[in-house]
Amino acid sequence: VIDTDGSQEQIAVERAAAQVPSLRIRLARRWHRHWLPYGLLAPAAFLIIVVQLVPILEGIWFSFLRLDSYHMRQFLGAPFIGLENYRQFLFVKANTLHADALPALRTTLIAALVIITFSLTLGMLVALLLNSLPRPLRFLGVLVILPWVIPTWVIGQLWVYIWDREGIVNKILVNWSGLLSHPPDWFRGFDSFIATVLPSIWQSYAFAALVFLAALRAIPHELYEAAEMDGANGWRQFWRITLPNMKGIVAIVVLVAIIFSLYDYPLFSQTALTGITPDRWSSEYVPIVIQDSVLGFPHWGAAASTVLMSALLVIVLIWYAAFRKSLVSR
Amino acid sequence: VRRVKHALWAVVKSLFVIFMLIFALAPIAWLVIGSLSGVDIQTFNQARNIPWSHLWDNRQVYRFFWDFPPFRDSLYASLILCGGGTVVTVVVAVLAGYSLARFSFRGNATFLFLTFAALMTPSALVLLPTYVSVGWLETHTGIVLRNNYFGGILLYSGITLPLAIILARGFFASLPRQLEDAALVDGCTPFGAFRKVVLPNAAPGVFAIAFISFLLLWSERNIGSYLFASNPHTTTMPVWLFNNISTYTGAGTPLAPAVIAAVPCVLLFIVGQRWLRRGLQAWVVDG
Repeated sequence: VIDTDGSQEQIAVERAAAQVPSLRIRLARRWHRHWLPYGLLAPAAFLIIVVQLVPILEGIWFSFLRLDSYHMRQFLGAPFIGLENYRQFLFVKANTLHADALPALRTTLIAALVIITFSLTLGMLVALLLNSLPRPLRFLGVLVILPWVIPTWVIGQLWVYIWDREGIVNKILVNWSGLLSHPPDWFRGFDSFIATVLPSIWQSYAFAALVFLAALRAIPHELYEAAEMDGANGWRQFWRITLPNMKGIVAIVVLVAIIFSLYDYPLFSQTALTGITPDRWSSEYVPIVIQDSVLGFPHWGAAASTVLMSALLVIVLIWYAAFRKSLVSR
Repeated sequence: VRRVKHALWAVVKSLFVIFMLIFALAPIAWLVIGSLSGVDIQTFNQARNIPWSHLWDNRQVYRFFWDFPPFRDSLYASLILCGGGTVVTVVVAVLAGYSLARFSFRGNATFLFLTFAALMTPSALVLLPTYVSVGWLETHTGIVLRNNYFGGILLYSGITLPLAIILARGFFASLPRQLEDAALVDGCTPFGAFRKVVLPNAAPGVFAIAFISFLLLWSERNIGSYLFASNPHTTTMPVWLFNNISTYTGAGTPLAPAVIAAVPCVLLFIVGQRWLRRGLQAWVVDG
């Protein structure tokens, strides 16, 4: 293949050398060589700068201003107070945002860990199973992945209605099976943690399964045939062939899951919509706490968001360090 | 022993499949049943038995919402803003993704880094500044971006753009180069090669990008409620529903609208799942 390519290139070069192109064509070529990439990038650059980067920079700038309700009207012209907002958020015990942030951070981290573990495991199992199903049953894959395409706010509403005190879950647990004698309140205490995490797993395992399924289909079949010949059983085949071939994609799904579990404001907020009590598991998550503070105290919210963004940057760097090898080797 | 083991394994496997099917579909089925109950959520939850026999008779709940002008407006608004935003995002992201994947030029890595930064920014940070900037534009230049389709499509397309660019870049990087090289040798310009050779082969990837962007926009509620909620023609469905939940309780609200909102996504997914899978596959192989 390389040989023919080389000779084709050579022919092209000779052909090009044979006819001296006109100035117009030469200019056009020059344009293509030097400016085409920028031309293709221009609309995206415009949109990214206008809709994303400018507001981000403004938001970071907000975090250095005293943007309380008194100065709210001045926005960018509010008095500059340096790192005061960060001090407030990070160290001042009396600050409401500071008081809320620490428990929220803990809950969010545990939730992220639980969600990622369960959704990756379930997603992988589902993908493996779907891959081994005979052709006529392939449509089951579409059904199992369906939770992923339900809009986030619909999922929130749906689960609020499922977790209701008199909802279907309590009916099954208490009235129909008698497993529990007392209907739990799914919006309070540790139960609220379950009630917010389960919908997230329900949604994200489906995405993981979809991506893993695509990756599984891409692994060359010969590898498995060779393993079969060598007498490796299914278990060994999974650990020695399947997983090593999917390392990179697992890494990417982990990253997506981290970002979403830190930022998935709509899902968390809507499942936690009713009755939030100040409590260790009060379904207070970092995105909700920050979102709430942005409405009341935008300068603190901006500082908190900037801190969160930097924290995420660190997480991504750790992620990159951990998975660099598997990303490159693909 | 081997046969027994095989049979056991098959049983375990099918049990797991059934469990996953129930886990995935039961909540959705419950949503549809609830929407057809004909009463509001509270009453439905308090009812002792599920009124199975009445469910089908209550299908006029959907008719009611379909004929209900404010809801119809919000559905159209969602379709226009999210659809328009998706189209703009996809066109822009495909061009940018191709450029990033195929050309090495000064600024390539910087742009990619900025895109990642935008992707990782919490929406809470961007919301207020966007609001301020839109207000500033309005007073200083007379460009109105609030409550109209132009601003809606512009801002909505910006929301998903970082993700779409990264997906597009990965997808184009996975396409084999040989086709383009052949086209170049045959005298195509680089852009011509992109238009005539690469794009026709990129349909699955483009669909995957469009679908993921559309899903993201369809759930968008922040920008929608801050900047587009005062005009009924730009009030998207989630915004309208959350502003009016208490007003229109009864008639199976708000579960019927939630079902209606999920329908476009489910339909798109079922129709395009083959393309989606192929698009993801290309992206997965080497992103």
